[in-house]
Amino acid sequence: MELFLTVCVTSVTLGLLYSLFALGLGVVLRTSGQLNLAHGDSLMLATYVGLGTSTAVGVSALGILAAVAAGAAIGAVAHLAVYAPVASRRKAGLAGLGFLPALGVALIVRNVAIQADPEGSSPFPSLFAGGRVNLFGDYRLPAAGWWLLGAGIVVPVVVALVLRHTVVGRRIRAVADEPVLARLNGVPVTRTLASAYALAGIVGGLAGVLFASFFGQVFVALGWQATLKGFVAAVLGGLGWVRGAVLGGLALGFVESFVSGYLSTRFRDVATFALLIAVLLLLPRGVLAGGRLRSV
Amino acid sequence: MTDLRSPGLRQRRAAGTAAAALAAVVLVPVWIGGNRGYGLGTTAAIAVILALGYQVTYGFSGQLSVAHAPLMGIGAYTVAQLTTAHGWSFWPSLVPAALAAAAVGAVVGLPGLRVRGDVLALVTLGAGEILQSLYLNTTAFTAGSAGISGVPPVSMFGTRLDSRGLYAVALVLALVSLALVRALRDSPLGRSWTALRDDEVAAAALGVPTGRLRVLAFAVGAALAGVAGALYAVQDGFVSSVSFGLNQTVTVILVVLVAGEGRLGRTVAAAVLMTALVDRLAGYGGLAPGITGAFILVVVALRLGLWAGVAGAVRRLAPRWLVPRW
Amino acid sequence: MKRWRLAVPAMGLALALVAGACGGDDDGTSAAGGTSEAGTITIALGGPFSGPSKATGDNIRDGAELAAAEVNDAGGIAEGPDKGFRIVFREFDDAGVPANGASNMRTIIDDDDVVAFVGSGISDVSVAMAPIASRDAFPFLSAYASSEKILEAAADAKTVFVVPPTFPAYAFSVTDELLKAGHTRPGILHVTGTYGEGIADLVVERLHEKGVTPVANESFTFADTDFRMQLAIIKDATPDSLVVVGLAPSDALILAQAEELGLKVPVFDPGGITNNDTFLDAAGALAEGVVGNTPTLARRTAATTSLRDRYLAATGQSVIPDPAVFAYEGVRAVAAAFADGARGRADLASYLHEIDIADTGVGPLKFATDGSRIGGRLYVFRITGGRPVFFAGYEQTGPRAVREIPLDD
Repeated sequence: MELFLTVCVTSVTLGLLYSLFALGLGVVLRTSGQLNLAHGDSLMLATYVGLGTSTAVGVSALGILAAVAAGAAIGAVAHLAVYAPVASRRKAGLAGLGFLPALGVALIVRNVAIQADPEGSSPFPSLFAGGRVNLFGDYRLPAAGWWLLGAGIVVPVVVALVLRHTVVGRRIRAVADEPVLARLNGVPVTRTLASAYALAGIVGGLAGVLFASFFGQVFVALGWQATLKGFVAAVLGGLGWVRGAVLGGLALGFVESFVSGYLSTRFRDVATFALLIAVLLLLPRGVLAGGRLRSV
Repeated sequence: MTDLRSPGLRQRRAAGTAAAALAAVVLVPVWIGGNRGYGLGTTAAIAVILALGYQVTYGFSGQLSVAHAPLMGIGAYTVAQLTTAHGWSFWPSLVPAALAAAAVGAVVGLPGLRVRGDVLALVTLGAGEILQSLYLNTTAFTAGSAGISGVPPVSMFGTRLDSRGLYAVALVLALVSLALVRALRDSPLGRSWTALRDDEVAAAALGVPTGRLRVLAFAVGAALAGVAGALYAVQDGFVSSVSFGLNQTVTVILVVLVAGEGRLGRTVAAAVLMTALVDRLAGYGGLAPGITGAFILVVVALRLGLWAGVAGAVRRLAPRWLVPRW
Repeated sequence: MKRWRLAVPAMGLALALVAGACGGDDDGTSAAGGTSEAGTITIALGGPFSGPSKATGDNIRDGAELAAAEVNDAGGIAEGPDKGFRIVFREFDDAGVPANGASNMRTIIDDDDVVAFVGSGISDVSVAMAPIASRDAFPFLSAYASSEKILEAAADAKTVFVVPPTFPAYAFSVTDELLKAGHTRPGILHVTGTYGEGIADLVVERLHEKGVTPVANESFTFADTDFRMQLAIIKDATPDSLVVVGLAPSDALILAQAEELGLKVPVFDPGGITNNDTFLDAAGALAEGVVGNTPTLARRTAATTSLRDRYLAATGQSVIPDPAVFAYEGVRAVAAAFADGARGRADLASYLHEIDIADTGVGPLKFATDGSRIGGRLYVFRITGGRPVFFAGYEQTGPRAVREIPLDD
């Protein structure tokens, strides 16, 4: 019984982290049609910025703020410097390898992080206040876990509100749904796309800081892990705006935790990617209908 | 993809490029001399075979596989297992290595029957991650993260080949691969693949069995990757999963993108160039991610013509003799 | 589509690069040339000088350089045909990745200047390298990496040596202490690979000998940071103790997550990881009570104190980390073999089999015919008040045998 409860807690905490990873990927995918393979590495670098700032200044809140700002900056700069010029040309020249530019950015961003942390991992003191609190039995969830539970609910709601009720959000949705019409109506498309990347970076930076605070460590490989797991979660959730990301993330968290807990911890990743392939193959239209992932 | 030059001229040019590239592969190691030169030559030959295989999967039939290096691993692990645990020698184990890689490649390529483009790329990316995870966790076959060590060196006529001998073997295998892939390209099968790549609907209307051809392109490409993996296994006598990751796949994709789809002479040249670059620029465990990332952006810029602006500026600013006219 | 005719300039560039690569190979630790001309003995020094285990690599370099400085400052090799020769190193980074080590080994053997290899901080790497060295009868001294598989993999040529005590000594010493403390239901959590699986298997073997079966045996990989599922499974089996075979950063995370899950049992580290500032800093108060082992520190002989003082003077560190100790001893062993009459890589191994150093500062150093160290020692401690407090000593008496020795021996 206690194992079952522990698996459930792991599922939810892991699942909420995955859904925060998926949220940023989903916003960019919906808006630009781009699978942003640099999302995870950007949020990883942002997390390092947060760690550096909070260590240097000694104020945790500033660390969180710095991570969020760095996430937004990396996303917007990458779009303006790389993705926008690429998108202005015929993509036919890449013969469908449209994800390459983002992969290039991901690797460059990763290299910056490796320069900052040559050993590839650093201890990460929690940036969130509070102590451990008993959840059930002996299980004592650390403070960052409670903050994660809160953020997992609040952040998607805030993102949904931003998309619905702010000028930027409405522009983002307009570009996503009718890019041509939006341009004709005077929406600054490039700037709007940059703001979508920035929004994704904000959510990403926050997710990174939550992840690192929860596990007490930040590491370079977190970037690629976040991209892959976030992407699987986004696909599972149907590549929607917000609800899909949250549900997909939770679903992936449950699958991984239950495979680990009751089958084998060794084949967790096999299960994850088998699930991805199955969904992409069996439900290409159903699941992807909302998104603009090119299938032909 | 239209090339207005006459086929004859184009073929002669391609033959020239291939000959120049091969001359480099043959002569440079001899010129450098010593085991280091021959080792580099072997590495270049492996890269050539790997890239030729990717030409079949991606270049000929237009399918975006992001699992090419993991498939190379199948060949490498097969040779490592057969030679260390079952007492086989290199030559007979080459056959199951290629066949096993082809079989797994066909399975990885099956989704190509259903999805295309970016989605196929992502499905194969997932398949590659699964292969990597299996390499790390099916310890009975792969020895996990420790890897399989002590793969015996290649022997011929009862004598153990030194680095020069292995280089000769690799060179011959690369030449055979080149001849094979070239014959494939110019065969009816190759033309069907190209038709499939350029216009699938038209190809199907002409009676091309598109589904079978798609899977076959994956299998043939994977078989060549398997041969490359087999050579890799005997070069260092050691096999582990880190050698077959996304980095290596991306390197192959870049080689083929630089060379151009279906351009075999250039593929050989680009693979050799890439080997030289990696040797020069790589730290331990391959290129630094930032260098690979910069490569990607440069290649993307080249392919999209964004380069023209940069090149034009360089040509205007640099003295004439410094800029090669291409 | 417009084509760029890259091929010709590309080929030119390739040629230039390869030629350049060739020229750049002599990054020059020594003035090159054969050992007999330049008066130097070149040792290949290997280890994870970059990447996740960089700290281990740095320790290996520090230890090796201390030994070389001692030999060279005393006028070079003391006796023999190469009397007065200085020791120089050529460094080969493996980044902790076995494939890099294997590739390095090939380069090292091809380099005629190099007489021996000292190093490798990771057992996976040494296991990948040793057979390649053995195949060409090249002298290979594994510093720190200490799996008995390194010796197995290179049994024929007798040119492979493991300087530290081997895994059975590490595993048995802490397992015996676990049993002495009266635990009967240990759970095991280990990293995959030669190191984690090797030690964990030996712990299980030792427990079985004493009629104890572990209640759970879970694994994780180097890249993992979330151990909660493994710990939950172990906790579900109601253990009375936890054996952790990991690395310094993962061990600290495991302790934190065990605390989160409420798994409150004594922790045992048979891998020699926890006597290490990285671990002690990262784990903080959670490290309290952890039982581990180390081959150094317990003894207070003149040689030990002197070695510690010299290391402090050279590096500014008051504690000699284990990798530094064994790299130091590996270089001392090579120097001793040359002083005894070795002439080069061809006969070095046979002289290494004969060396007998009374006390390197760690203890006596001589090798058995299988290449293992005779009489390697491990001291068992419990972390108390943030520092290791030693309470038992063990000596390796055979490939798979240990005996308890008094702490002050």
